[in-house]
Amino acid sequence: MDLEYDVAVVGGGHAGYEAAHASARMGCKTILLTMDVTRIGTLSCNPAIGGTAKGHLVKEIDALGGLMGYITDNVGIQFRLLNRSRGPAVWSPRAQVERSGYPLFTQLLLQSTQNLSVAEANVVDVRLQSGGIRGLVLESGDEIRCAAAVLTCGTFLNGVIHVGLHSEKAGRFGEKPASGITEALVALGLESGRLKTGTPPRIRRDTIDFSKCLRQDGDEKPEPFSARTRRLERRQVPCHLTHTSPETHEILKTGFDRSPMYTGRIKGTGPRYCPSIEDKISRFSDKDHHQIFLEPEGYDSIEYYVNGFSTSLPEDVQKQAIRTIPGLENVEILRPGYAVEYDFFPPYQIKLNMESKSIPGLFLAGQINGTSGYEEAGAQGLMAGINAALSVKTGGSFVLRRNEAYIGVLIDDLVNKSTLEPYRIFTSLAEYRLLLRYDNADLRLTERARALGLVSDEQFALLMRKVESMNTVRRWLATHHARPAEINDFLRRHGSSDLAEPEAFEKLIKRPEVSLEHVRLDLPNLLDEGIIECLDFGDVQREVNTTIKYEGYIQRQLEQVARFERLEAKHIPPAFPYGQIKSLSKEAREKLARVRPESVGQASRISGITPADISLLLVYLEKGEVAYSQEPA
Amino acid sequence: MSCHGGPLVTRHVLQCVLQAGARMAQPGEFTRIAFLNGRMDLSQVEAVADLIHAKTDAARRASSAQLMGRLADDVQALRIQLIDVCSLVEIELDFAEENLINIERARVCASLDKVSEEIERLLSTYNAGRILRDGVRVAIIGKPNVGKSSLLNALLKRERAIVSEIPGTTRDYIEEMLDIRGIPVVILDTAGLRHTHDHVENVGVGYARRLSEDCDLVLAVVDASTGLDNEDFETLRMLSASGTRPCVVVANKIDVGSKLDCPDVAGYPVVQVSARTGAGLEEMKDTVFETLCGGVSFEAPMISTLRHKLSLQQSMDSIRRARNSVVDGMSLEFAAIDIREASRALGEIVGEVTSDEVLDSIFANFCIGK
Repeated sequence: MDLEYDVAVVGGGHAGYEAAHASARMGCKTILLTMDVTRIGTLSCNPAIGGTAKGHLVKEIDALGGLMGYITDNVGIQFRLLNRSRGPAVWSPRAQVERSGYPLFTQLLLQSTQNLSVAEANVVDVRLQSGGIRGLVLESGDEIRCAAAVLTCGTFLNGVIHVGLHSEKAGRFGEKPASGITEALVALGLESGRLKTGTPPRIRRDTIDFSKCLRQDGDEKPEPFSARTRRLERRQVPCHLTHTSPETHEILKTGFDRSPMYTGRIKGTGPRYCPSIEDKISRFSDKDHHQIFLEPEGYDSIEYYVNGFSTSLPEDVQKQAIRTIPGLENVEILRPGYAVEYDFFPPYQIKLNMESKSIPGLFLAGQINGTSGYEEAGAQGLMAGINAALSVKTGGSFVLRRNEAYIGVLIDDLVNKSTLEPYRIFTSLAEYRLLLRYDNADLRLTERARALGLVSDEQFALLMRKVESMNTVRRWLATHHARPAEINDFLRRHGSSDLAEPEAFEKLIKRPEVSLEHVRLDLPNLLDEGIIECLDFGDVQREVNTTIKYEGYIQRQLEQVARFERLEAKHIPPAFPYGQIKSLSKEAREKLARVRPESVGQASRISGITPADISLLLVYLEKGEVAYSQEPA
Repeated sequence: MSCHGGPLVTRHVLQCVLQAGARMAQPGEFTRIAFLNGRMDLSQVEAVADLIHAKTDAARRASSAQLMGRLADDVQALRIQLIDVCSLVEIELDFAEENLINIERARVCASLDKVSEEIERLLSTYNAGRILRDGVRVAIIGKPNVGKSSLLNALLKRERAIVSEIPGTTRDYIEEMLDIRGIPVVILDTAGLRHTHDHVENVGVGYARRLSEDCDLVLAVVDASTGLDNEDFETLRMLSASGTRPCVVVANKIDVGSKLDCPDVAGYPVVQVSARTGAGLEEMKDTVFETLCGGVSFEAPMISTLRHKLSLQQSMDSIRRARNSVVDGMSLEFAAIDIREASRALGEIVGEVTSDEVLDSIFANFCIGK
């Protein structure tokens, strides 16, 4: 094995493969080190990618040349656009995927990536040289030399899994944990913490009575995640919905005295937003049922995934309780649910480019930063890979802001909030949600990724065509008028009022009852052939419809962004002496010194920093010293 | 530091301290330190300035209530209500998959209405708040010899203006300070309105006319013992022609007789007084107060600055837009944009939201207490 690389990535999860791929694509000699190469790209939890806000992340990863969306398109077994009944900001794609297919396809893609090697090895230590990273020490004693390293260790760092009062050291069920890295980083002065997450039982498909469940099909016209997927031709299979009952809850409660959570065996903090079923019934005791999704694990898999029933209660309690769920009366559990505890590094310790604040060249991404979810991990992996490569090549960095991408929101939140529970993305975390739509991720990001060398000519050409088509359509709609005689029938049919005078199509589309889709479907004879071609290209029609219909809102959000950017533009020097501002509270001084925000805007988002602290900071920055300590003029 | 009384000693001690290296606090410096240390919010800082400049006891009470954070408390309570609505909306948006909650739109509207009612109430205090802070100018207007100067003296409870039975005694105008039910009032006694060949008196009459247009309220004095004549009507016509300025008709000399017993004339309320005996003066003050600050209690938090008013209006507009989008059946993410905006606008009042504009305005106004 070659021992010298530009970038070394530790871990083969979603952060790991995105990081390694991005770095290699950017021309860096890259190696991905993992304990088991056959597990690269494994889905540790549910067999699904995307969902509200998470789907946005996947689209952004794709727009930046990442893999997750493309893999999903190739192994998906059900595609759905969520929240269709709501507005464009919260439409979000989600797909069920083949659990066995996902890692296989991932590994295939990595194999065909230039500049990238994959190797099986346990990393046990890091080596520094003049304060920065020099290399990684393997269990074998070899040292892999690298200019930058990306750690994406997931739940494996000193992982312990719990089922009832039984616990064992493991990163995933049946897989060894990783040890040594936490200790090495702590020895270098990094702070570690402990988190917990859980997963539900897997059950046998042929023991489920689907007739008692509600069938949920995928979309009739499924949309691919990736711009690189020309046509989605995957057969779709349904999911099924059922629910727990009061009886289920009673049985679950009988196991609480053997729960690793409630008996205090688990010390790590669990995710509030992805709670275990025992958490749900104790926190929402007024609800007598909770929704359960039965998700297929593949076309031919005998396993089903019981989404919504994450638990670490003893196996006998799991078995008894699950059988009170309609449709699961005779179900057989193939593998019980479990909780996993693992080490993480509170992410105030990284910069916005994912690099450790104290160890240059060391990048951290994924669950090691305290997040949960494949999509959150993949997004960070991609950004860490990009920035690791940049640090090696040019010394620059690539940071997305909160108004540019969900990825920006995610990383900014991690660094500034440094939450003590697993972090999950939500649309409500994005202040400029309406600007960050899933279907304009390419418009927002692809050109920037192109400049980094992450996007193929083909993907870029598609973007250019989309932009041109949108412009053509918008111009046409603004300059072409519908005459009353040719359009009033149509308007009446859609419950809208008649036209007396000709009116621009653009104005008609602003009416709540009318959409560009209606016009395209009902009135093709009023449209030029060229326009129809543009409309039918990708998601041009929807994108144009959204930008016209919600112009006022989009404009207001842009104004909010302008306001936001003013404080972002106020830079704080890296060596700013917070300790010298005596009127800052001790807490504020400590927090600011710990996070070392790059701008006043970022400082204002650090949890525990008050508006008064920010005012003070602004005064100090403006005047060079605290205003009131000046001598009178 | 305690020293013997007398300004000279104190001044000398101060000089010694300054020579030893101390410096005087700059105007507003302690307030600024308090603000920067998070001990005060923006509305409290503004209250300090108001308190220092308070001219009446009611104005002092209002500004010290604001200083104690009562306005801030009210505004914060409203923000919390908005944040609650927002989280309700967000739950539906972010957990739609899980079908956790399908919120009732009526509930969102009701919550928004509650907040906008409260904002409306605060907005309605702006006029009174401003009057209380800045005071008003009240002009005493009327034809000669109806007792304008007597009225001034009666209000001031001292012989400020010369009073005689000779028409045209007051030729210049007289300006005095007065507290009417807590309102700081600059009261202006003017020359009687009449056509005269006396050059000096004519200049005074010109003043009177101009002041009647240039004040916040007019006390139109008439002689109750004789009733209204053409000259009085002409005065009232002049007043109503010159705009919507509030006016109270003061029917004076009821100790002599009262031929004017209607409750209002030309749409202006009539009060019966006797400047000589003091009868009816308290009722007159009530009427003046009602006319200026009708319905507003000085005890509840009020706003007095344009900045507050604009922020509240912005917040109202956003809430209205949010409500409309909810009623129109639009997806709730749009309401969320406006609700957040409404909350941000409220936050500006107390300085919760740090934006350049707000900070600039603070520092522009920081030299308070001069």
